[in-house]
Amino acid sequence: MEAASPRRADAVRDAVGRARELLGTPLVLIVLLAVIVYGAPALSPALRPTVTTMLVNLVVVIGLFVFIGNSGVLSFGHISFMAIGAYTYALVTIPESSKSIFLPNLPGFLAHADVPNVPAALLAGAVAATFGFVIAIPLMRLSGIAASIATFSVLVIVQVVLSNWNSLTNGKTPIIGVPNTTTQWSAFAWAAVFLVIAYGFKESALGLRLRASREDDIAARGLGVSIYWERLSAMVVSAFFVGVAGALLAGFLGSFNPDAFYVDLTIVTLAMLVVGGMHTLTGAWVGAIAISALTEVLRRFTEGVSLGSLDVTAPSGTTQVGLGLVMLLALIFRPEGLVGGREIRPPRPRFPFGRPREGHAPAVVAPTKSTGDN
Amino acid sequence: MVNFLQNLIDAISLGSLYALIALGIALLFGIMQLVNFAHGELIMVGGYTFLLLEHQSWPVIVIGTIGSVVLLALLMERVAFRPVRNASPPTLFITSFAISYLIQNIMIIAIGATARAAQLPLTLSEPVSIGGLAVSRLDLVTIAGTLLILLLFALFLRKTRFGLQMRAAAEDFEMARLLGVRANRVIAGAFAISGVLAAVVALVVVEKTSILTPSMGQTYVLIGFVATVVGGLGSLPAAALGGFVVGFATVGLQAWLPLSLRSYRDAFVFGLVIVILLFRPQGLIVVRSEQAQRV
Repeated sequence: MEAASPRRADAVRDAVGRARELLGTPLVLIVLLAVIVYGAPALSPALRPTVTTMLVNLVVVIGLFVFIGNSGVLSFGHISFMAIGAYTYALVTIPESSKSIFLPNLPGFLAHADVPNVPAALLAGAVAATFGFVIAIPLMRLSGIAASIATFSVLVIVQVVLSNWNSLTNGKTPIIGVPNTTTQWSAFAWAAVFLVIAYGFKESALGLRLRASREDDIAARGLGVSIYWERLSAMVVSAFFVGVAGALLAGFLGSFNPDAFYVDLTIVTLAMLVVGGMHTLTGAWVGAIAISALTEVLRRFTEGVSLGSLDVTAPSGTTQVGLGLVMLLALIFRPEGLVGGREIRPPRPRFPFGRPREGHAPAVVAPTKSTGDN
Repeated sequence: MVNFLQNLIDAISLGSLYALIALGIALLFGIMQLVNFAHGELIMVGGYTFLLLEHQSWPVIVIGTIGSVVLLALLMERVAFRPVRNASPPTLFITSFAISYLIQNIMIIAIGATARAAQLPLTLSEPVSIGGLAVSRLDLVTIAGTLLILLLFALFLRKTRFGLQMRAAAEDFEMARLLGVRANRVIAGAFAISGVLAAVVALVVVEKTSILTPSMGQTYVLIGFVATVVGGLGSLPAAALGGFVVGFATVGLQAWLPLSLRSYRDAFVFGLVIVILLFRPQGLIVVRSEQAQRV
């Protein structure tokens, strides 16, 4: 009895430590996010669509982080996963009656499909992940800029195919009648789940191997990291996230065409990741929120605000110039991102089981050290 | 046969244009690992300078365009790229994107987003008949101009002190600095040269399409990236070759794809890009040094 009790206490402490290690960061991010999602529309109901857009962008950026942040390979192709997710979601949720009018040539199983929202979003993610898997098989042999350009080629190919496959996508003509199912809270729920998974992925053995290959691929190979499989897995997970983001956007906009998913969105979301700090989930979060918020503030200025008795109105285009300027300044002054390479952590709780005994290193210490500065 | 020759000339002309763009991008990539998205804005500003000067005489147009674009390139380097010079390639890329976004939107505030048409003297687009072939003079001027520029550029890199320093910097920037090459001068020089190349591209593009929009640069810069990587990073002739490959692929597919598939042309071009990269990840021309391994 005397010996067993402290041992059990140690085991509990280790488990608590490990849970804190794995859940602390995402929980803080989720709570802060909830404050924004609840607070912004409470301040002004007009902010509700802005918050939803921000959450969709956040889901994309979390997806980008899983692949780009961990592997260090810049992908320009992820928005094609979003397009695939959006079209998948649209085709299985638009009511059969409207599909029969403007998409008369759909194959039977799609023409009759009527899937509820959540399974449809999961399906969108799954189709995107499958596509991600298929393209990753050849592409993940590449690294560096060759991989970036190959993923960019995928973006162009998907764009061209979606714009021309009239029977399935209605070509360049917008697809219409997607049920408006995405609300701020449904988008928030997805973002919350993905924050937890993304952090778990980063902290997993696989994520650690991937980050090792990002820091030094030759050394990582020397330690037995295959790199290929790690990147492939990250690609599939991130494609799933981004595919779901496409479904969310489709359910938010109700109507869209392939041009919505091209170079502009690719670069805006990449900018969010890089400005926030691409090596941490916290950075991805901060980048997505900061740039979305800034866009909204600048947009309001452009529309005109009253400061006391003074009406300030900026000429059109000012939003974008301001955004570009702030991004540039952020990059010049913080080239590693706004978040300086550290994950946000909850304040350390008072430990209920006393201090760890001397000579007994809890299992959580090693991962803490290895993740401290990246 | 006539058809084939016609296509061949189109392909060489388009390839020359792409080669010039790829060279401007490859030059900066070689020295500072920068994938310069703002190269497109150099082309765009060049185009608008051309528009501004369109009623002047030819030398004024050419010198004015080159001058303004080179100034802009140097300004970009000094204000934005110098502070982030040692940052990681993604940061450099997003910085260049921010610059591009900024310039594009300043342009929109200044002159609006609508397209402008340039009214150019028609002499260059009039076709010349060569053995039954109707060749536009612009194509001939483009091809000859590109060859001349490639030649001058090669001579500059091989025969001048500055060219030597630039090649050394592209090979190993740190080592070059240790041996006394001035980083600021070499990089500013590289930006100036990429400005000259962008200005020439702007002149050709405006002559060819005579339509200008603030976002016109994007298409060209993206093709330039692809061409650079396909040709092979780290060597300038390889980048030029990449430009020709992409130009030939585009014109060839346009000519030979069955009509029903023609709207998918770009999908085939980029599919080909992926295939080339899978078989030659370092590009068509592999550079000898281990520097290439790093990128």
